[in-house]
Amino acid sequence: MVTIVQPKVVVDPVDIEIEINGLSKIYETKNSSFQALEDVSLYVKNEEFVSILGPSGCGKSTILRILAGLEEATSGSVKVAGEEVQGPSVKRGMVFQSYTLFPWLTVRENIEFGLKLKGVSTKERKDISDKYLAVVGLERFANSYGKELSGGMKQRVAIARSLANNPEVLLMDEPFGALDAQTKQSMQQLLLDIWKKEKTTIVFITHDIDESIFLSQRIYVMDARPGKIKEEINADLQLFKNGELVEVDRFMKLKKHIITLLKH
Amino acid sequence: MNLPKNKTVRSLTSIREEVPKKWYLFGVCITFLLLFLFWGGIRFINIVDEVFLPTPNGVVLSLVHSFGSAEFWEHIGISVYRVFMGFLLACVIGIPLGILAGTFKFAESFILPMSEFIRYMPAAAFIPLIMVWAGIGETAKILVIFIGCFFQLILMVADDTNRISKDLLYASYTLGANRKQVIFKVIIPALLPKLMTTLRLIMGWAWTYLVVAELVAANNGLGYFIMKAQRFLDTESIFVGIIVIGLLGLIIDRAFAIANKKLFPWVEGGN
Repeated sequence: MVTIVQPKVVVDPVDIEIEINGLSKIYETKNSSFQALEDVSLYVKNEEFVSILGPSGCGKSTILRILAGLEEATSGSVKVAGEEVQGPSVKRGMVFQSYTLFPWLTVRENIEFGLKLKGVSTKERKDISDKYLAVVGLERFANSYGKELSGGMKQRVAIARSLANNPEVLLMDEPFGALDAQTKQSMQQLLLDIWKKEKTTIVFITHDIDESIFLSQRIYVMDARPGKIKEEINADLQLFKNGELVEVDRFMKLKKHIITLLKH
Repeated sequence: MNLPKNKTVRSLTSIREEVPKKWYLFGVCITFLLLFLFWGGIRFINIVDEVFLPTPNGVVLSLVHSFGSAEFWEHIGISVYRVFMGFLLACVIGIPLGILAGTFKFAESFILPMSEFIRYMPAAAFIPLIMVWAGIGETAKILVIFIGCFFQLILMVADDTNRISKDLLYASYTLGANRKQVIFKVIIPALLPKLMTTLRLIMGWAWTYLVVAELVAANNGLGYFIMKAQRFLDTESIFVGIIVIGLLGLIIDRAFAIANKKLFPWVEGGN
């Protein structure tokens, strides 16, 4: 087998944004307990795009929810920007697979939701929402309600709404999972553009191998029951250069490698 | 699938598909017309005594006559007053309790099992008790309607609240909302359209309990009007009373439906 897995790079601890050490999660029910995560350790560097890839039920979403502070770890430590995660925070924005727009608010009001909670002035709010409406290309829909938008547009609002809060980390839980193939592709490109422009740290959950290779710099491949990290892969492909497809061979090799990994 | 060849027949017999508006209207009109024809037919061949079943035109005349009398409007007024007071009282106490039960599991344990238990007790059975507690005045009548609506309302509001997607709440937490803000800026706005639909149903029940309430020592109101007519075997007036209650219910129901559309234009799939 071709060696794709590169030797571990030593990361300067100053650069580390997210650090998870020995994370376990056990769900207790009346007569049984279920180990969702076992001894998961990973890190994400500042401004890095990292995917967590795995089959359904491997606990990848659980990692994200614990990172977001929506769930508690059974054991282990979860640090973001050097601080232990204790409950949800505006510093960690999240985009869900299900559409979570507030349907009674317009697109603009959705984007301004977090700012309004913070007490940002009307004028400043408008400036920020204008900026992010442009970032996701929804200027024309500023005054529309969610019911008038397609699935892809709803997710664009969700991304804009998170970014408007200026989070340190953007957590994305299979955000394009419910979209059709074409919309999915354009959303992936949009997300990459945003990431390059905004320089946000992104943790992206997916079960789509192509998506993870296309988007991320590093991929954590997971194993199910109990969920643990199987391998860390350096991807960081430049698939397109000046509109031309390049590095296709490496893409295929990586894909093959991951498929073999996931098989057993 | 073997669909009928004729296009109109096909559209009128397809499962859960829309039909042209004029055909829908046709269906509505024809049932009312048939009802009147059937009723008139029975009268015409005279198999039922007029004491038991008045003629349609007699009822219509009596209806028009009633609308011309100030006394009849007083009956309507007092009945509307009782229904709305009972309904409003149930709302003022029931809606907050329902939201509380649908939001906090611990609050639910205090509110829901008790409401489930009491709602199976017939409101009419409370009448003797209410008379002992509240006498036979207006309060007693409003209380009957209140009891009929209140416990159902709590259960339905709690259920509406519970149905709000958890991801919506999670999203607001990650946008910086605290618990209070989640309740007032997310749960309540998300609840409102469903709440209106629930209130519309409860309002229907308030009207059915009105007649029960006015069985008790009333000397005015539409329920009393019907009871009095029965005493004099005046079936025409009984019909008039029932029809007027039906009409009032219909008007209020339409008002709710229109308000829902106007107030919540953002609801997915319309109201």
